[in-house]
This record gives sequence, structure tokens and C-alpha cells, in this order.
Amino acid sequence: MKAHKKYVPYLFIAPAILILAFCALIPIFIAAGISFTDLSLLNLGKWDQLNFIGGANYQELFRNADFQKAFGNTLYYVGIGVPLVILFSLVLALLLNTGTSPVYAVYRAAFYMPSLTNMVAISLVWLFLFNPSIGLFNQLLGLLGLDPVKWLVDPAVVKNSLLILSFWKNTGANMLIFLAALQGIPKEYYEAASIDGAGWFKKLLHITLPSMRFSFFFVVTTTLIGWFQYFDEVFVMTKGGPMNSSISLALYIYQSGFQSNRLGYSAAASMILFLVIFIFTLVQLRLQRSGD
Amino acid sequence: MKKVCARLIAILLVTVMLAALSACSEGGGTSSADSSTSSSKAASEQADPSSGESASEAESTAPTGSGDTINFWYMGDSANQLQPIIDTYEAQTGNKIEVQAVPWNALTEKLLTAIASRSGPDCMQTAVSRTAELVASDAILDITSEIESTAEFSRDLYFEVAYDSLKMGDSYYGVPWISDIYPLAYRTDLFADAGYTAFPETWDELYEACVKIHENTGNSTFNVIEGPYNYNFLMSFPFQAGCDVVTEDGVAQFDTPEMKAAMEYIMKYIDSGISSDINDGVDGAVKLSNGDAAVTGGSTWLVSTIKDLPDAEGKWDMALWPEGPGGRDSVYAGSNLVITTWTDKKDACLEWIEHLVTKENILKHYETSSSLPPRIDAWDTVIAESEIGNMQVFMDQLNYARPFPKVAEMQEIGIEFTKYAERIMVGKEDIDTVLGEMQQRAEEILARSR
Repeated sequence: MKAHKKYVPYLFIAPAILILAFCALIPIFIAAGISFTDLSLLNLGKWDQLNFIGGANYQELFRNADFQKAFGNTLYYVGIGVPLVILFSLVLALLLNTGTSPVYAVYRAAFYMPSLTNMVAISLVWLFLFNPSIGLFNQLLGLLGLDPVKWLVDPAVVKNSLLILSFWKNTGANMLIFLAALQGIPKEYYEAASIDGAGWFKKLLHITLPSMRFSFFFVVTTTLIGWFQYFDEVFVMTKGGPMNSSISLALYIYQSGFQSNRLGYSAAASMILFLVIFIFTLVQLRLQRSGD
Repeated sequence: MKKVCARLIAILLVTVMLAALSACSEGGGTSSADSSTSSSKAASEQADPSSGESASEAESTAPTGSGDTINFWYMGDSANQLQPIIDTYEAQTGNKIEVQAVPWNALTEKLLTAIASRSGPDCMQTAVSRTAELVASDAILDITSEIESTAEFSRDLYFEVAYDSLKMGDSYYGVPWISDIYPLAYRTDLFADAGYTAFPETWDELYEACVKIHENTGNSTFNVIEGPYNYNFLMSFPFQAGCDVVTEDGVAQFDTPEMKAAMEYIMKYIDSGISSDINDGVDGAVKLSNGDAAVTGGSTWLVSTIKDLPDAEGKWDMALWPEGPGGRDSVYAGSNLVITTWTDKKDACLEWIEHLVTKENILKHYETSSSLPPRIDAWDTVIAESEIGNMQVFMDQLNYARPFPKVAEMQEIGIEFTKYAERIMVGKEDIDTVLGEMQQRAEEILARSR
């Protein structure tokens, strides 16, 4: 019996490991393998016509202007969207944590609502809001005497329009996580700090933020991954247009795989996205550990 | 104790394996089949009592009576429109139709899964633009001899373009079922104000008319900006300029003078300011009704939409595309019925397809779904029943139509073409430069499989 003891822990994690292996790890390796082939609709299921083409897909990716644009756009979305969403959800959580009256509950629900709503339903409303001639946003700008903005039509503006929408949609969920973390901080800490004469800002800096470190790590990591895989908003609002100016990496992968039927090529693109996310998450983990 | 432990491990591992496998397959290939059965089962169960009792009664008249279940893919969000036709078929033959509705925007994904697993439907409705691709991937059957031996499939009964759309080399890979055709829709009152009682007959006349209309209204005239976002509309311009876009033996035609003429004709409207270059996503029918467009791409969908717009009442009509330097051909789209290479029920499929394309059933389907028939003999009824008689234009345009270039990579080239056209029309980039790049891109795509 004793000899078995060391296997028991493995037994307990076996279900999770096996499911993970079959549904996540093995597919990733298969995708990595496919990325070195010319798999497409034409040779799918006819394996004698499938060719191993080495790194040709990757070479083409780096030469392809659309991929470069998608990559640049994704960095733009992540670079602006992630800090903005995290900062605002943190501020909202701090504000909502200052009181307990029913008004706060109403606001909490209101801020969280967009996260619960279906993206397709949201897009219908926002397409109207963004409409260049009859949209509410341009009507409001008109009242202020400002020129109308071509929200989804102007290639220079469209990325920011999508950011506004995503910012509105994604802030609520993170806010809720922060709020839960805030409410978990023991009151005694603040009482002790008050006795020591600490002000509001000192308490925030030395008690609130350090106590939220883990939820902060969680929110940053999931938000980063989510924004690297930015897809829904672009897909339903602009399909990446006009002129690919709003295309994201995830959408590019979808288009090259499922519209142009180039499965090998799109697998290569998704491997690159995977690597980027992997590196960022690794850095995150390191930072979190060094903080401990 | 040892034994208990070992058994426990064994049971656990098996359970986990099963759970993992089923979880994996849910996300993978078989999900399409799974999701299909839930909806179609309900449908077939509904039909079950009737078909069960009539199966025995019909046995004497049924050609096969083998009780096959045919898995059929129907394009659209639901297969309700097909149910009456399925019911009569099941009652007549004792075969069962398991129908799965495939939304148009999911077609590629569904095809990928079906072709990868060489399973799924026995026969299906598929877009004519996919014929070359499906033939190249060895997914659909050559049924040339069956077409010759079956009266309902006789080529004389159908528009020439309909059978042409599924002909590769000398072989035919299916039977036409739905004809989609895109003439133009225009505002009769605006044209009348500009002095035109009939729609212009040529490209140049249409341009002149639009200039006059713009002088009168100040609004956008020909809704050319639809181009980069509506493939069928965009392709009409090169066709009418005399450009094949891609020849049948796979030579790209984007750097030809004809293609350039097509793009220049579009840009004439935008550069002169008589047509808007803003794609605001507003539907063509709405633009027509608002007066934000005097001419726009037409379809049966536009006809059914515009009826709900009171502002447009009595002020619009359909028109044939005007004649360009290379003719007045528009894109022939629509659907064919094809049999997959992996089915073992070819005869039952042929019988089912024969049932679908009878004049009676094709008209029944037109009534439930507004899908235009490819059978010439069905059009008398279509035209007679159309509310303002303008279905005649759709029929006329069918005589000036051609299918998509029949190369397997057309899907990818087409998507690229809309993007490059957007660069010309919205980005105002130089036509020669963009078309040169498009030619290169198309050659690159075509070279991959050759």
C-alpha cells in the first residue's frame, strides 16, 4: 500500500491532465504540425496530395502586408485597450466600494450589464450609434457645433471607434473582480492605519493595492489574452474594414482559414499569435513571482 | 486492498478517457452531425406518423421503397420552407429525409468538416460559385449520364447558364435548383424627372442620366460603393467590360485593359461626385427609398424589403444592367443540388433530387422561400404572380448572366478582389498600381496548386 501512495496524487490530477491533453495540448501540437503543410480545402482528406512545405507559410506571413497590418493593429488594441480597461475598472471598483446604499448596487449592475449582453445585439445598437449620417454620436457632435466623425468608415478612426465600444463592453467584468477583492480586505487593516494617522491616499497605496495583488495579476493576464484574441467586435462591426484598417490577428486567422480555405497558412498565423500570448503570459508570471 | 486500488485506477482512467474523448469530439468534427439531429429529428418525428402509415401503402408505387435515410444539407437558417416538399417525398417513397439547415455564412466551415471527414451529407444544396472547388477536392459526383437519362434533368428545361455553372470540362456535377440573379433596381420618378421614361440601355447613357439626376437632386446616384462589399455586384462591371476576371484554364485577367475600363467606369461616378464613396452599411432598398441612391444592385431580397418601405411605393422598378463594351452580363449565382462522393445512397439521392426539381416542387419552393427557379417552364407562373410584374426583368437578366470563373481558388481570389477594389474606390489609390498588385496576388494564389 505504501508504494502506491506516491501515485495517488497523480491519480487525482489525472482527469484534469487528460482532458487538458486531449482538448488543448494535442490540438496545439497538431496545429503546429499543420502550419508546416499546404493543407487546404483541396487536399483535405486526400493525404497523398498534402505537401510538407517547411517554413514557407511563415515566410509568406512575414511578407504579407495584411498580416503585418493585423499584427500592428492587434498591438494597438492591446497597447491601448488593456491599460485603459484595467485602470477604469479599478477606479470604478474603488468608487463603488465607498458606500453601501442601494444606489451603488444599481450602478454596479449598470456597469456590469454590457459584459452580459450578446455581442451581436450590441453591434446592432452601436452600428446605429456610429452611423455617419443618422447616428446619435454625430448628432451630439453636431449640437456642440463639431464636424461629424466617420466612425467606422474612416480608416484612421475606425480602430479607436472599436476601442470605445470594447472599453464600454469589457470594463464591467473586471470591475466586478476588483470589487470582490476590495470587499475581501479585512477592515482591521484600515482601522489600524487610521489610528496611525494614515490618510486616504496612504491607505490606498499601502493597504488596498497590495492586498489586491493577486486579483490584479488575474485581471491583467486574462485581459491581455482576451485582447490579443480580439475578434468579436471587429468581426461583427467592420469585418476588418475599411481596407483592412481594423483587422485583428484573430480575424485574419479566421479569414485565411475559413474564408480563403488556407488551413496550413492560417495555422501558421495562429502559432505566431499563440507564441506572442505565451511570451506575454510568461513575463506576467515572472513579474508576479518576483513581486512575492 | 491492492486489487481495489488497481480497479479504482482502471475505472477512473476509462471514465476520464471517455469524458475527454466526448468533450473533444464535441468541439471537433462531429459536432455538425450532432447539432443537426436535434433539429431534424424533431422535423422527421413530426412527419413520422404520416410517412410510417403511407410507407406501406406507397410501397407498390414507390420506385425504390428501400427505406433509406438521406442526409440532406439545405442552405439557410431553417428548413421549414422545405418541409412540405419533404413530406410528399417521404409519403411517396418511404425514404426519409434528414435535413440540416446550414446558414450561408457557415458553409465554408461546414464543408471543411465534411470533406475532412468524408462524411456528413449524402447530397446537398451548394452555391454555384463553389462547384470548381468541390470538384477539385473530389467531394461531388459527376452525374453527366444520369442527367442525360432523366427527363426532369433534361438540359433543355433549364436556362443555359444554370447548367453551365456546374459544368467542368465536359462533365456535369449536379442539377440546378435555385437561380440567383442580380439586375438593377432604380427610382422611376428620379429618372423621369431627368427625362428618361425607360432605363438607360448602355453604360454611357446610364452615366449621363445619373449626371442629370444629380443636378436635380444633389444626392448620390448610382450606388457603386456597394462594390467592395457585394461580390456579385462588383463582378458585373468587369464582365460587362469584357473581362473574364480569371479564364477557365486559370489565367488571371486583372491587368487587362478591360478590367481597367471596368474600374475606371466605377470611379467616374465617385470622382465626379455624383455617387457617394461612403459605405455606411445602409441597405440598398433603404437608400433607394430615401433617395440616397437612384440606382442600386437589385435582388429578390431587395424586392421583398422595399415593399415594406412606404416612401418607395410606386417609385421604383427593376432594370436590366446596361450594356458595357463587353455586353450586359451579370453574375449568375444561386444553388445546385450535388451528390457527395462518399455517399452509398446515390440512387436514392438522385430520386430525391428529381423530386425537388419537378416544376411543381420548384414553384412550391419559390413560394415558400422566394428562391428563383432555374427551370424555364416555371417562369410563366413566377412572372404572372409577381406583384408589379417586374419578375420579367429577373428572367431577362438570366439570359445575360454568366457563372463565376470556374477555378478552384476563386473563393480566395474573389475575397482579395473586393479588398483591392476597396483600395481603389475608398482609398483612391491609383487604378494601374492596385490592379497590377492584384494580378500578382491572383497569380500567386493560382500558382500554388499548379
